[in-house]
Amino acid sequence: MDCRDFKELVPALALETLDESERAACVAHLAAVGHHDGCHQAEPQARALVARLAGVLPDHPVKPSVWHAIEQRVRASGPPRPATRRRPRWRELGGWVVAVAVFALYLQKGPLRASSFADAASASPPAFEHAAALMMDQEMRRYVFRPARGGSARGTLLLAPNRRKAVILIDRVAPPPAGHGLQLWAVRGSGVPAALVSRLDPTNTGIAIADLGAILFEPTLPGELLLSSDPANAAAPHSVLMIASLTP
Amino acid sequence: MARGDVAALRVLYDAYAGRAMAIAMRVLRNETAAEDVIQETFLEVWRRAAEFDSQRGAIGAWIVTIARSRAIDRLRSSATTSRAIEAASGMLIPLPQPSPSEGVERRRDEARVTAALAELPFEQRRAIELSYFEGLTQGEIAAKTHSPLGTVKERVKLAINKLAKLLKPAEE
Repeated sequence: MDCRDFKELVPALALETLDESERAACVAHLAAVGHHDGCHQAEPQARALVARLAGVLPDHPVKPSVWHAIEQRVRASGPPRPATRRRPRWRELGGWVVAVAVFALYLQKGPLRASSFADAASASPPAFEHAAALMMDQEMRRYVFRPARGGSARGTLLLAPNRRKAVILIDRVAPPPAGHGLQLWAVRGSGVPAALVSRLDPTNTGIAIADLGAILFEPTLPGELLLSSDPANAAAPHSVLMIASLTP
Repeated sequence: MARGDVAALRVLYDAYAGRAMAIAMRVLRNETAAEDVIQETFLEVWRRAAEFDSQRGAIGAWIVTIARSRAIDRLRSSATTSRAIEAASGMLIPLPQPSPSEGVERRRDEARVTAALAELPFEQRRAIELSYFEGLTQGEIAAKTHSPLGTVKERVKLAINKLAKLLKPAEE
């Protein structure tokens, strides 16, 4: 689905009248990182317009007991939770759940909860799509990260040199503390590790997928990749979580 | 409210519970189920207060959208969906009777929306009403109206685009 397709469907999306597969495709498109042609504006505009339709219905009286029940439940639930980055619910992805579960097993050969993995996939649909495409490429290479210092983090790198595409999948990685971020580092020859731009943002279940695009190949494929959890803008990796050797 | 002020939630409840109840009742046709939806709606508003972004729309629209979504979730997850589809009359809804207690601005907007709906061709308006007020999917509308699915999709799209044009000047 591209932005034009999305905007064709956005009225029906706002009306919640799409079937599940179309709705999942729209949700995935909206969650996709990268350039959009007004999709993130079109969606709330359509929802705001649709919400105005309720105005043609006369208000319906609500029994006082409803508010009392709400008040009790609100007081029992405590204060509202602080703002967090919105993640699409995995349930919105329909058939994706099965697809990503198979994908996860292929990559990691480990027990992953489909819902957790789907949550990560939904946060990065293009990365998931690229990974699926790479899996079908006969030139695809797969590298497995090894955890550092006896940690439990796991990772897999898929790359296709002929297409200059690479995707990394990680799991069992705790979200970094405030002010820190997960950072990939490329080690070429005997040089110092160089930071790679990435979008590694694990879900609260410790899973992330990221599309590395062509940066991994610039200027040459590195001999090693490191994943660290360090303060933002760290000049060098200090807290290394896992390492992959890309040497043939 | 994001700081935990229940009184602020009450203000929102007083302003929008009636409208949220109206849409929940319209979708579910069951007062007890609609009341449950209103509870779930305002609990969700409470929990997600910090996520509300006024640049994405008015708070009333947000609340009504949540209420309608929860009502549709309940409708579609229940075994009575087919009966609800059968019950969906497809009849055009009556014009609202303005309440003196409502704000002038709100009544004006309601009148504009009503007038805009009235300008839609019958089949487009019916498609909007079956989807918005009855909670039917496009496939269900096609079955209900004995129309091809593609025709229903086109009617929905044309109707919303026309409503957007008709209602735009007031937003600017």
